[in-house]
Amino acid sequence: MRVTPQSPVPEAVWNRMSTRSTRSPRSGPDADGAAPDAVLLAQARDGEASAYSELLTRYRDRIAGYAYRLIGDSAAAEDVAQESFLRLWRTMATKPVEGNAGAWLHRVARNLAVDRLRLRKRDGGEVSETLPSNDTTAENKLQAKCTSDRVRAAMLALPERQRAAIALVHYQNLSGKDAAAQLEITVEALESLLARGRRKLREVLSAEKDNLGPVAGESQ
Amino acid sequence: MKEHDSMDWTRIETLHDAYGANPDRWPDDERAAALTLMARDPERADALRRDALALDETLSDWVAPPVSHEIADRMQTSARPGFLVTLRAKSRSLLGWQGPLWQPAGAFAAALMLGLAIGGVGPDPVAFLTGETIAQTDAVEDTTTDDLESLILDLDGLMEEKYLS
Repeated sequence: MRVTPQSPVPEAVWNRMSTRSTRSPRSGPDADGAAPDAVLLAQARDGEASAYSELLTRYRDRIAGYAYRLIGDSAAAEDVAQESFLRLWRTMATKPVEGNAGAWLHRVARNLAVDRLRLRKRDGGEVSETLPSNDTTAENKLQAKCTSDRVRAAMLALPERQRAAIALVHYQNLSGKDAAAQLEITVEALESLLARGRRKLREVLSAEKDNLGPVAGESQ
Repeated sequence: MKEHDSMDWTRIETLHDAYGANPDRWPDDERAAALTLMARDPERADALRRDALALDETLSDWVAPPVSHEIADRMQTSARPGFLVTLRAKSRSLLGWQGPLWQPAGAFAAALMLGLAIGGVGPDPVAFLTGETIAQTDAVEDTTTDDLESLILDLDGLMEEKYLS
């Protein structure tokens, strides 16, 4: 559903957003009884194969998604995700992994993504991407692809740190505190990155299509 | 934790600018105060929400593709204990050792190095025995010579006393 500045915020959308859980994935005991990361890591170090599968199931899509937001290329993002997990398995074999597995994987994935972006910039490579969609009609597919492509292009035009901040908070649903820790900056610095990134996105996306609100600060 | 009184509209705008319209994304210790203040001026609050929500919704249109089956299968295949982990697990189960693997491994290595050091640096057992034998022989020969010399001297003394007197 497209929400324009002229239309009131739909109640259903607001309720859905307000009630959606935005906490980062399990780093401690869960209400659903799932083992926390520390337990799974210890079990994996003891050679329990099921712990490996559980960690992979828990974080595979999140890490691949995070890498995709940073790189904008699904094939490269899959490579980054795969390499991130391989590094986790290798690291676990020799020493304990500090913190929760999710934070560790996000950090490694970002480092790998930055390396790839650096290589791509050096080689002058371009990214071509097709958008998978569950929409059945051609019109919906086209519309979704257009919007998605515009957002993707705008995101990739941001400085890497602003992009990472938005990816962590908006797409990975990390709290400001967790995202700041992930980027090794203060919460205030994170908020600055987020605000500047979102302002830039709004400018770019508004310029392309007049269906977003005014640039932050202009409405006041 | 921030007090309710410290919340103002400038901070609420900053929260929207940085985190978007969804209060769940705002810092836990500021959410309630911000929502309370926003409830006092619904019109102003709604304007902020609309602007931020429009961008939130647009950003959410960028959907990450699912991991391909091929890569997913490959990742699943690699998600298993490696050689080192398996070795450690098996050695722990065999020896009943619950501590880190480096401790017994280190003790074994230390014992091995000590053995090699003693064997390499210490005296040759054959040479040692030969030397001892030689020393004992020398001692016997030295003793015999000394006794014979003193006996000759004694005889010399007796002869001198007998013929010179």
